[in-house]
Amino acid sequence: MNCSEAQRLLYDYLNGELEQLDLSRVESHLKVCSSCLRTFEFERRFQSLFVDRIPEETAPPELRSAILDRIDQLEQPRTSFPLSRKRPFFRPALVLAPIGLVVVFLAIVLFTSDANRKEPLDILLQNHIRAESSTEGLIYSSSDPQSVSSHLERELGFQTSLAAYARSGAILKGGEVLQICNCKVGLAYFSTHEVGISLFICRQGELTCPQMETVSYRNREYHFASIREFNLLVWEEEGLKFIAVSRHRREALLDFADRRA
Amino acid sequence: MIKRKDSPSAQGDNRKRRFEKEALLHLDAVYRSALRMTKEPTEAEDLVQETFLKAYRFFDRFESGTNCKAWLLKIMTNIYITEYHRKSREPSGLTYDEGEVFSLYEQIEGKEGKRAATDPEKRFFDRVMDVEVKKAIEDLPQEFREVVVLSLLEDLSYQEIAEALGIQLGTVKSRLFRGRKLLQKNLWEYAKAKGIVSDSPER
Repeated sequence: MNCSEAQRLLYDYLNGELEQLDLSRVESHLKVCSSCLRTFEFERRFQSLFVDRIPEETAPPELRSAILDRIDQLEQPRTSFPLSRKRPFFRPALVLAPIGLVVVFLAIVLFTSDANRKEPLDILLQNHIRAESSTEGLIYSSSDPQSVSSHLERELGFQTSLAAYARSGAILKGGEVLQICNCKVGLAYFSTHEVGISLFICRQGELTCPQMETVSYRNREYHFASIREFNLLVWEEEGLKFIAVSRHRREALLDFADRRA
Repeated sequence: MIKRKDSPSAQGDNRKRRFEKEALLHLDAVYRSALRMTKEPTEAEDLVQETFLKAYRFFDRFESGTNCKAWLLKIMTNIYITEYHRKSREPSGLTYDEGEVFSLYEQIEGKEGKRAATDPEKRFFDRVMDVEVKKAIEDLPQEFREVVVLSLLEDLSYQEIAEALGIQLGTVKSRLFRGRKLLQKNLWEYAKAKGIVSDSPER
């Protein structure tokens, strides 16, 4: 090994990234080359400067308790809203097409909104999220799609994974959260192909309908129903309920849900 | 309609205990990295909260026995990149000709070495202040700061950094190389400003 090759491997060596062969070649070169040894020593010292000299900042104690508090909040809905097996009921709104849902929910929210209470919709609107009318109905969108997701989380404690969808190649068209019958329902619109899949994420509440069947796909359990021309796939993740509604076939929905996970 | 083995609360308690033991253990390390990334304590605290909450939600997917700190830092950088710093993430436009790369070693040896009989490196390292070391990192452009923090401070491997930032292994290496050279340049500049060193050739 010559000096320039040794210098080229210097940082990989210091970072412990060299394979055995290169490692022993570098080390034998350092035994015979004092000039390389000096630069290696220098860089090592430089590196340790950052470990030794940056004061050991510790997280403020309130941060730890704040995290634990929020975890407790996250666990809470599971205990206070157990899923019901005994009393299945059918929530009519869910059989409506996504378009219908928006309109229906929107109407309910608008008419029931209390002037003094801050409605989810207000929060979204005030955060520069635009309402647009299109062939698919009203679509709430933002020039910055992820802001929808972060607002859901920050303002309402409602978690979605919109950012993850945007990255997985789905086209995010917007999102919205509405309050209905004490259930928080999150709506996210995005289309993966030419036909859209709408995903609804509920944090609380129960949802079953009579003709629902249990389907197992890649070791996960889903609940499937076909209502009019729409297929409905329901599953649970981390205490949140996910409902995908689409004209896509069952297999496509299962695949979509699986890719999500 | 969905089967559970445990009652929800027992399951939650268990999960929380395991989370505290395995993940919250790294709170300080995640906080420090968040501080270096955001440069701002309140923003760092928000980022850390989001990180641990997300980690908790996805804790089932963490494989016990693997590097939990690397996993947490991956979640943190992901949130940081997508939510906090999307706008400032355009490349800094910094181009570094290999030939122009700054070498602190050559500066110290070449300039200081000639006149100082004592170990010039020791003299330099001893005089650099802790606060300047911190500033040197914080002054790095975003794309270099990320890899430097994860590598130098948190000791993540190239592979772990590549996964955390969603970039190629080769990009990690080249950013780390340039990042280190920039760090050296920053430190040299601070030292010069304080009069510890000088590059005027006549001295």
